[in-house]
Amino acid sequence: MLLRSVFAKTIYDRRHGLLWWSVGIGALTVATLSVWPSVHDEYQKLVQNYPETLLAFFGIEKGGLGTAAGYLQAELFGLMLPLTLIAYMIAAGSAATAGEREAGTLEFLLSQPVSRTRVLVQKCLGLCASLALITAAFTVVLIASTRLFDLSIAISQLLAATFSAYVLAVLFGMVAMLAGSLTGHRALAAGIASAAAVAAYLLSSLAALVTGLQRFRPLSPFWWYSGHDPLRHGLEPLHIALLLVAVLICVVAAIVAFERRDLA
Amino acid sequence: MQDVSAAVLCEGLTKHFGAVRAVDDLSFTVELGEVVGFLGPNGAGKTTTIRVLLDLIRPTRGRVEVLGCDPRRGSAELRRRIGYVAGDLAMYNRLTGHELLSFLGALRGNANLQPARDLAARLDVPLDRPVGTLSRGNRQKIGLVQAFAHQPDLLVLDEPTSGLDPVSQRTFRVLVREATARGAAVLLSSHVLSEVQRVADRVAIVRAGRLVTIEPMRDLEAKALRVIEIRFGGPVDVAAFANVPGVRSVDIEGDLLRASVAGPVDALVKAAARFTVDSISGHEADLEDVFLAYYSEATGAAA
Repeated sequence: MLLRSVFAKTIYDRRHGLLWWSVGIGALTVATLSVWPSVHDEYQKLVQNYPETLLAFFGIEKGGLGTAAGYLQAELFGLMLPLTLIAYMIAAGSAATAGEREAGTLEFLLSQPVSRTRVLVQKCLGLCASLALITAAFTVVLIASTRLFDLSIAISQLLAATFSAYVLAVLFGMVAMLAGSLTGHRALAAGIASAAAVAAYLLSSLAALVTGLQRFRPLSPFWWYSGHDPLRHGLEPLHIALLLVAVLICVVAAIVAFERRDLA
Repeated sequence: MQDVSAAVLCEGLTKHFGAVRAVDDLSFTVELGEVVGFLGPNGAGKTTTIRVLLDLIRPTRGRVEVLGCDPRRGSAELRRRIGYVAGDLAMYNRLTGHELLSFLGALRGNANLQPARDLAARLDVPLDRPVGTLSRGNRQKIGLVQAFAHQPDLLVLDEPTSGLDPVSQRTFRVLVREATARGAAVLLSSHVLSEVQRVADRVAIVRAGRLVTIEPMRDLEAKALRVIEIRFGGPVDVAAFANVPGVRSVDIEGDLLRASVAGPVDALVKAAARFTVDSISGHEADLEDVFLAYYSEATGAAA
């Protein structure tokens, strides 16, 4: 039975969304990678004509030009993949408590013999598990597509980059959860988390161009996600640890806020 | 030692939302085994008080104990012993009744859904359809099922019979009596008196966040005006009934007398006995009038 706990119900409630997000992100991946055989000769010339500042903005290093890793970073991992996963998690995270409050069902749920902390933690875990399912579907399509369309890149590098994107999206989902627990309003929570994600993205990418910003770059979660270029160098433990610590802080803060506020 | 028989104890309960005093220095108790009707117009603070009992909102001031526990400290374990039907009942509309009850059973760690299914059958509510597709009355019945099925020690019911047909309202009253018979306490909120009149032992009336009165139902009924109609064998003089104790107003049309009486009708009946009486009929005590009197009294005091 799929309704054994708040955790299970969180996933069960998202089952249709899970399917469509997986299909969408899979289609995007296939479309992006399928053009590689026809462009990879031209690609090197193409990007060499881009202004260097633009390349830096998208996190493409000179050394990565024309390689499969550089292409994937520029076309998929630089923006599209994190954007999609983050959008899913912000929508889900802001709906989790603030959305239920607005629908009136939070009162019903919390009048049952289940503590607020338990509800919040199980919802967080449910969202992380649902994102893991989408990410897993993406990973399967990604690996199959790299093999099908001749992108030469090690599976371990793909897993490293995908895992980094997963943790990044979890972080912004938890930011949405925290904002939802603080404000109680779904749209506001989604707005706050989106603004945080955009700010983090701009900080990381603009820092490549603006010398004054350079020293703030290590503060951006987007930098923790891709600053070490996981498609070429694998995971950087420090950056993953920073992301996980930030996730933990958001969850603990969300619990504290959720325990304190009036919920009706 | 605290009063172990009090299922609900509020002492000086106050709740502000910003500048709004939703509940203001409210004190009352509900003992185990009794039904307390919680009456007041919309916006009187009934729902706010109830949400404090369920630990959905936290009081600004005052002492609250539910089954001997602070609701906040009691948390999930305390709510295990409470059955609750919310005023604006919103359940998971996409789940069927069966799915909803099994989810709630899982939250309780209770695998036996048979009592809930039996109760649903008694209330004649279908469980195989999504809750959101049911009529308002049937959704309300599912709300009652989830509140009563686990035999809680305290039932907190916020306007529980709204949308129910008369047959289900009767079943509801039987359920309430069964609950008090096994020692449970019931707090039954409503903005209409007739909803609580037949089941409440005591009635608490609130207005603008303050307690107007709390007293036994029969005391309230004793204050209520009763309309008595007496048909005589021939015309009678209104003067014969002018000074009868308890009669507040009297009106005679030909051989039909209509009188409003507060309290016992004994004096009126004895006064009528001097004439030839064809028939006597009485209407059920109309508490609405008492209720309205309390409201306007409270308004007067506030103004």
